[in-house]
Parts: sequence; structure tokens; C-alpha cells
Amino acid sequence: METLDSRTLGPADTYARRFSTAGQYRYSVASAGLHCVAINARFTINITDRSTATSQHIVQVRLDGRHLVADPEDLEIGIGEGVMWHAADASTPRYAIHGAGMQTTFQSAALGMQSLYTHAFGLPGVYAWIDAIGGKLWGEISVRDPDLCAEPAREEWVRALKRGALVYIDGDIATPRRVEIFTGQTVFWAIRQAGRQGITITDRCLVRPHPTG
Amino acid sequence: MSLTQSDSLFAALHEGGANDITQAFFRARPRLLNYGSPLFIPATTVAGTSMPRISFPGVPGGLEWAVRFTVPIVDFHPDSSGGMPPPLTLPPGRFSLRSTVTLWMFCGRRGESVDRVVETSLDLWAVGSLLVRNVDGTSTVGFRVDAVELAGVLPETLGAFLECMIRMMINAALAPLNIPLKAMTAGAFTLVLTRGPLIETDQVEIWGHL
Amino acid sequence: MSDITAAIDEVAVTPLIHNAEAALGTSSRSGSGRLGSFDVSWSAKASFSGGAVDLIAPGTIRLADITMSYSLGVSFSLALSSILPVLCLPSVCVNIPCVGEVCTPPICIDWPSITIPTSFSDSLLFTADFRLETYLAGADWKVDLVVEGLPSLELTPAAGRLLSTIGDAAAAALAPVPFIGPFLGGAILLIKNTIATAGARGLLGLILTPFVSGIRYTVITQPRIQEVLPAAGPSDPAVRIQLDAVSAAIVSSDEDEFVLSVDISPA
Repeated sequence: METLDSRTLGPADTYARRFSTAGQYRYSVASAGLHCVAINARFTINITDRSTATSQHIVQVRLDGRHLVADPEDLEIGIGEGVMWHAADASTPRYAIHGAGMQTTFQSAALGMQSLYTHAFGLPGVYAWIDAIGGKLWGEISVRDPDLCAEPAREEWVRALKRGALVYIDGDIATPRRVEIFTGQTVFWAIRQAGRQGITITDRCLVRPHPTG
Repeated sequence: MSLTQSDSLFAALHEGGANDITQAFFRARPRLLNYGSPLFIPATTVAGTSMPRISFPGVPGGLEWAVRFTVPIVDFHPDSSGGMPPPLTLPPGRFSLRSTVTLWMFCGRRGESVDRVVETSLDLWAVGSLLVRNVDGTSTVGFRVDAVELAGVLPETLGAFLECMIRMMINAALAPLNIPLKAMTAGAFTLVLTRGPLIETDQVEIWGHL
Repeated sequence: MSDITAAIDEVAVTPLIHNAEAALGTSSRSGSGRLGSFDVSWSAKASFSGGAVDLIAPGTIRLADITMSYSLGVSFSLALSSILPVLCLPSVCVNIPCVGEVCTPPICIDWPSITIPTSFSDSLLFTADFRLETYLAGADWKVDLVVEGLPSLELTPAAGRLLSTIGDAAAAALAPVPFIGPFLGGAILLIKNTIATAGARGLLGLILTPFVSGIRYTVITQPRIQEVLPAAGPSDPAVRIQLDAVSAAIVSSDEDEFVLSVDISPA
């Protein structure tokens, strides 16, 4: 099935964060079941005053034996630049990123300010998504299969695959709330504002109701 | 012409098979051919049927007697017995029956030696017809003797007397022999009788439907 | 002449034969084979009913238009990478105000191998000749109808329906595969064309032929020792006869009849 859930990242997902403060950040890559557990943070990101040639740095998450590793393990970037984590291939197990610096923490399972989550949709349907942490944030993604039998539709689909749909998150508001895309297209959720607990982008079907009382 | 003709089922029991059944019947239940008063058959068992003594004034306890038949041999029309004693003939649709009857009588007083038993055996021929009976809800074919001939008994009146007595006795012995119609199909079919039983060409024939 | 002769005509023998078909019940088989170019595993159940009876002397019974009702379970695995094109989602870039351009890396889709299970139920008519076989099996005499040769099965109509069912099963199995949506129709068409009616017919023949090649109906079962009369008391035991020989044949005169001949003796 299609898994739209930023709490754990799969091959169709990426997580990105922009770092605005100099210093060293240590982080871990945990398997999906341990995403709430702080484990040995052995991968580093050094943010320096010097700008690098690119504003976006890619870290591949892959399986090394029985462990998930970040590649490269140590990264040096400039202030204001971003790091994007993605799975190396379809066989990479679902994972979560959990890190901390001198005065701040970041984690893919609870998206904060200056975070980005992307998901490429593989199955048609209407996906109602919410914040699994408990906020009032919600939205809807409508995915439909293109009709590749018709030539114009095929060309349109190929072009559409290169286009992303951007959703801004400001607290409890998603803009736009409703997005329509083709199968294979990618939606970007850019978090401009979020509460201290952070937010998730989670398919409503995957969220158990919070117990009352 | 087909065997079933206007019906859907036909069954025939050849005289050879009828004699096999008769043999089986009287081997299993020989008492039906053996009757006697307590001197000869003290109690009824599989082997013999105990009968009361014949009461008679001056004969203390009554007359002790016994009668036994050999297993009857049946012949269906036409006659294949080799010759029946006149005036008996085997008409179409009838069966003939042969047996030997032995009669015993104790001619002494009670307590005397059984050497005082006298016996005589007679060959009997009979002609009869078939009966259809319903026994406990099952249709069956039975045998009824209509006439008996004892060869060589004189005077003729004695012969007639004995023939009458033996005819009644043999019919009593044959009365329990009721062959279920299903047995005439070797158990393969359950037949509802519409025609027969008829005797012809050395066999009993019946017709019906399932 | 036999001790017992029993004859039954075509009309009366028909329910006996149909009852014997029903008594045979449902047979089951399983195995493996080919469905077009796919290796398949299959399981099947079949039962028989009906058929118009024609008695043919000296020992043949023809049943015309016997209904064979069957159900199949067919399963085959397919590496989707063998029928689907390589698909890599390109790098996607968006411009986020105050952040700048952000791009995702390309994502190449690893098409999985899937298993397509198919359930199919159908029926067909066929005609077969049967010979009579009489034998002693333990304590019982039996009269069987044994199929002669290999009845011909017309499988083309059923093959078309099976192919359609496989297409539906493939659609159900493929639909949950992420990113297959745009290629789903083409993939199903390709699977069906790979199998084709000929492949479906071949598989049906492989599966169904063994069911018909060995058909044996037992129309008569009678114990060798039969009770003619039950016991009527302690001094009147049961009366039994023995069936020494049993034979069955078809006799033709002004009508055709099934004739059973039996020799008996006191048991």
C-alpha cells in the first residue's frame, strides 16, 4: 500500500532541513520502529561560516550489513544551506532522522521550522492527511492515473513528473489544502511555522484516535 | 422381443436358482421339514419342530408320531423332471415338486423300547402355483401345492387319505418360504411389481418398474 | 441359463447411472504446468452429472452431454521487471521563497515480483463411451461403467473465460504495486497476450483431461453373501445365498436393455 507518513521515511520520501546557525550537529539514522528512541548519534553535520558551492547537500541512507548508515557520514556545509536525506534504493528499510546541536534538535518524525518533507505518490486515490502529533493541521491530495493510451496525455504525464506540488505549512494551516496530481508526481511540504512539538504529514488512515480523558 | 417389454424392469428366477434358494432355506431352517411328538422331538430347535401327541382314548399320553420331508426339488413348466406319475401333469404356468416323506409311529406303551417304532417312506410328487404375498411390507413370491400324488399306495382310498394329509403338511412347510422380489434381481434393483409372477421356460418371471 | 436374470431398459437405467455419478462425488487433483510462458501451480476439483444414456450392444453405454463441473485455483509468479519499462522518477525541483530551489534526487522504481492467484469455476459438456466391468471386490460384487479411451473436450470457450478471469486477477494483483498505475492496462494486456487463448486451453487440457480419462462409475454393488430372509426367531435363523458369478451386458432386440446374469448357490 501507499504509505504517506513523515514519521518514517521510505524510498519515495525525502526529509530536508536548512541549518541557519553555525556549529556541529550530531544525528542518528534509526529504523522505523525506533524513531522515538534516541540512539547513538554518530553522524555529523558541521555548519561553518564559509559558503559551499551548493545550497543543498544530499545524504543517502542505506543499509550497511544490519545497520542503517548515512553516506556521507560527516558533512560540512555553510550557514543557511540545507541537507536532504533520501533512501539509496527501494530495498532500504523505513527510517527516521534524529539529531541535535548546541541549542536545537531536529527530527524527521516531528517536522519543525525550516524543514521539508517530500513524497512521490505511487497509487491513485484521495489521501486525507493530518498531523499525527495532535494539531489541527490537515489537507488532501488527489492522485489519478494518467491515460497513457492517448499520446497527448502521455507527454503531459512525462512533463508533470518533473513538476512538484508545493504545500506551505504555517502552524495549523496548509496552503493549498487540496492538491491534484498524477501518479508519480511529488508533493513538497515546506514547514514555515510549527509548534514546539513539531508536526507530521500522516495519512488519516494511519492515525489511531487519541484516547479521550 | 425385449425382456422388459412394456415395463422398464424384468427379473427371472430359473428353476436351478429356485432350488438353490429352497436348499438354502431348508438348510437354515430344517425344523420346517421335521415334525414330531415329544418322543421324537422333545423340544423345538433349529433341527426340528416339537408337536403335541395325538390324544386317543386308551392310549396313555397319546400317540407318538413324527414326519419328515426331504428338501423339495422344484421344477418349473415345462416338465424337466423326467416324468411325473399319472394322473399328475405339469400344466403351463405351474411348478412341480418332488420330495420324500417319512412317517414314524411308536407302537408300544410308554416306557417300552423304541424298537417299537415303525416307519415308512413315500416318494411324493406335487403340482402347485405361485402366490404373491406382502410380508412385513415386502412383496414376495411363495409356493402353494395344489395336488399331491403318492406313487404305489394301495388301496387308492389310503392313497387319497395320505395325499390329503401330506398336501396340508407340505403347504405348511412351504408357507414360510416367501422369496422377496428383490432377491429375484440378486438385490441389484428394487422392483415395484406390475405383472407376474408367471412361470414359463423353466423360470419364474416378473415385470415392474424401479 | 443363469439362475437369475434381471433386465432394465434405457429409461430405468438412467437414474442408476446418474446416481452413480453423484456417488463419485468431487475429485481433487493438483500439480504444475505452463500457462503460455509462465510456470503455474494449480489445484482443481471436478464432479460429473447428467448425460443422456444410450445402451449399445454388446457392452457399451454411451453418455451424451455429461456435465463436468469444475473449479480451479491457478497461481503464477511474474517478475514485473520483465514486462514493465524501467521507470525512474526524475529529479523534481521547486522554488521555495526565502529558501531557494530545492530538488529531490531521482527515484528509480524497483518493480517487484508478484504472484497472481486466480480462481475459476466453469462447466462443460462432453460425450463418452463406457464399457461394463464386473468384478469381485472383497466381499462385494461390483458392476462398473469404465470410460473407454479419452473423451474429447471442447475447451476453447472455457479458455476464453479463463483468460478473462486471469486478466481480472492480474489487475487485482498489480493494482497495489506503487507507480504501476500508468502501465496497468498495458501490463494486463501483455500478460493476457503472453498467455493467449491457446495457453489457457493448453492448461485446461492438462488439468481436466486426467479427470475424464479415468472415470469409473459403480452402478451396482451387491454383497457376495446375501440375506434372502432375515432371522425370524431363535429357531429360524437368517437364510442366505451366495452370488457365485455375476455378468453384465447390453442386449439388443426391439429395444436395448442392460441385462444382469447371476449364478447363485446356498450360502
